[in-house]
Amino acid sequence: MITALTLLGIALYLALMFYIAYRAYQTNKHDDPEDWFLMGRGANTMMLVGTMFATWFSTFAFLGGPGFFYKSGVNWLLFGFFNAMGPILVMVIGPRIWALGKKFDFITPGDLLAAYYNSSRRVRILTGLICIAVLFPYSAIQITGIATALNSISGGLITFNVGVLLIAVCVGVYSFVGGSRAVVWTDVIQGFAFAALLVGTMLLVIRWSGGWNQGWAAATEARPELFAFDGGAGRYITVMTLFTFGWILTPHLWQRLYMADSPQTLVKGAAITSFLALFVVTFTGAVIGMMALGMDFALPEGITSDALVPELYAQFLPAMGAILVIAVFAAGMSTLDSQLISATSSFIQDLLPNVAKVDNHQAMRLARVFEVVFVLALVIFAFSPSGRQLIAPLASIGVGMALTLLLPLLGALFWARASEPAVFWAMLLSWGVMIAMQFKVLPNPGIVGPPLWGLLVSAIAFFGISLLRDNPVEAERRKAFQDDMAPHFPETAQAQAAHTANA
Amino acid sequence: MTSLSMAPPAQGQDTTDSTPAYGPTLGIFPRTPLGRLFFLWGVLNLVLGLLPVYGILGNSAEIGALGMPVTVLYCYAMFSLNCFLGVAYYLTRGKDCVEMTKSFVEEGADT
Repeated sequence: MITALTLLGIALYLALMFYIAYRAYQTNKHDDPEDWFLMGRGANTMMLVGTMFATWFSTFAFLGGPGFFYKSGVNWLLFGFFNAMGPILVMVIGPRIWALGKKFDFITPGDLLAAYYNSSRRVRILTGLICIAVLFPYSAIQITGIATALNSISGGLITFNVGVLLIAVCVGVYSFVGGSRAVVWTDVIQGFAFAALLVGTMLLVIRWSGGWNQGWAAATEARPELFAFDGGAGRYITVMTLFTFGWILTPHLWQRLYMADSPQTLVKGAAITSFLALFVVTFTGAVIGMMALGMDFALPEGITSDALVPELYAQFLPAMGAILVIAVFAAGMSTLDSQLISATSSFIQDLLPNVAKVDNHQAMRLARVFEVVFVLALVIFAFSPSGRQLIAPLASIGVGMALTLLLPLLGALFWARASEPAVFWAMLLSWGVMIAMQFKVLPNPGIVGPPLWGLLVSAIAFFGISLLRDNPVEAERRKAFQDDMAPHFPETAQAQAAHTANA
Repeated sequence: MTSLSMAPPAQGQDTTDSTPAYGPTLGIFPRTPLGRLFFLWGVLNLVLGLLPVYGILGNSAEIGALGMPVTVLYCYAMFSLNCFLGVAYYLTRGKDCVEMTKSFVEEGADT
């Protein structure tokens, strides 16, 4: 009965996703990259909140997050910090990125950085490569994570290989057919569906624990050592920095800043997302994971803590199995589809023009070819043990690699002294150091992780080269990106007015 | 493709100055008092977030207010400050910023 319900649920869910993709296809302006990759910069508040939320929170929020709290207790609480702070950065610098994107038709992070830094070809190529390097392992981990979870939750009904193919085909088809419009529309449904399930699961866990007070008392009594931090501040600082800035620097999130229909939508959407991220995702995860410590419950032998939520349902409410399978699908696919579209845009905008001259029609045809190739590569890596070995360490610093874009972005938005050579070498060296440390080619001096060492190298190269050689970008670019923008934002407007008065 | 076309500098505008005195110092540190206040609020959040990790404050398995363990309660109270920072930013800067950005885009469309 449950097997039939699970299969029926998946079939209905996929039918809904394909229907949405078809409707998006009918609405899309074909051969228009802005429409295809950014849904024509037309995301309203609900769409933006839904897609930011669903894009950032993957299967991890539903499975890994509560599992981490169950395994590590309060040592994983800083998960809450960066998820609340990340959207705030969107409010601070998002409107500038939105305004520049709107004015100059930027689609990718590489568009903005290359345009400011003297239309630098090498900065564009490097940014495009970094974006794809951030997205590929992250996507591969999504696909293997969902397939593993589906296999576990369905009790082997959906094998790992079938799961990988099912997800790849589904995401590939609706992204191929509907572009970013399909992705955003499905994100809204997927995001709110799995958020509702998280809240529902939390309420059930509180009930199964005997109530709020009883649940916490039992948990702290059962495992008091998991309710006080055990040190390791360096790891916290790395994680906080990494993900706080990761919110805005990962290519698929950056592109959501271009997507908003107005800066008001962007700022309001970010403020709402901050509350949702903190209280709907991380707080529910903390309550589920930590209260489970005091329940009459134990994970079966050989089962990892990632399976906490499915195991809780298996023991307390088995009838939820079908819903869980769909929730895992929803959570994982909503991240994967955005990454697929984003990687494709980086290829089309940042890499392709350097090897071939194509018009929009040809570019959009090649975009679809790239999407298919990207999905096939994900499947090959997911099936190959050696591929998975290579992907795992890269995925663990996936968001870290996006930190290489932080100082170049701040330079373009705010610091007129930043120079093209400084940006190129800062990005190249910091990316190289992160990867070399991650693969142990370079020793990690300790204290903090490879992403922060990479950021330090980036800062030294960026500020060092920019300050040593007074070689800023062309004056017209500084004017367009900074001087012309200054009067439109309170912070720089006031300082500019004071500067003018003093002069 | 991007539609980047650079307008020439306005007459009399000094474009040789690569260190204008109105942008954030080094692109990071705000120059106005309110900007600095927001920046410090963010830094303070970070510091407060790390206090229990170092065992200085809010690191205890005891049950505290609202029936929650002290560490959990402290951390979520502190994380909430991030959200309130966002609301404060929206109320004091966000709305102005919205209007200004709109006019900026309209100017761009006119030129």
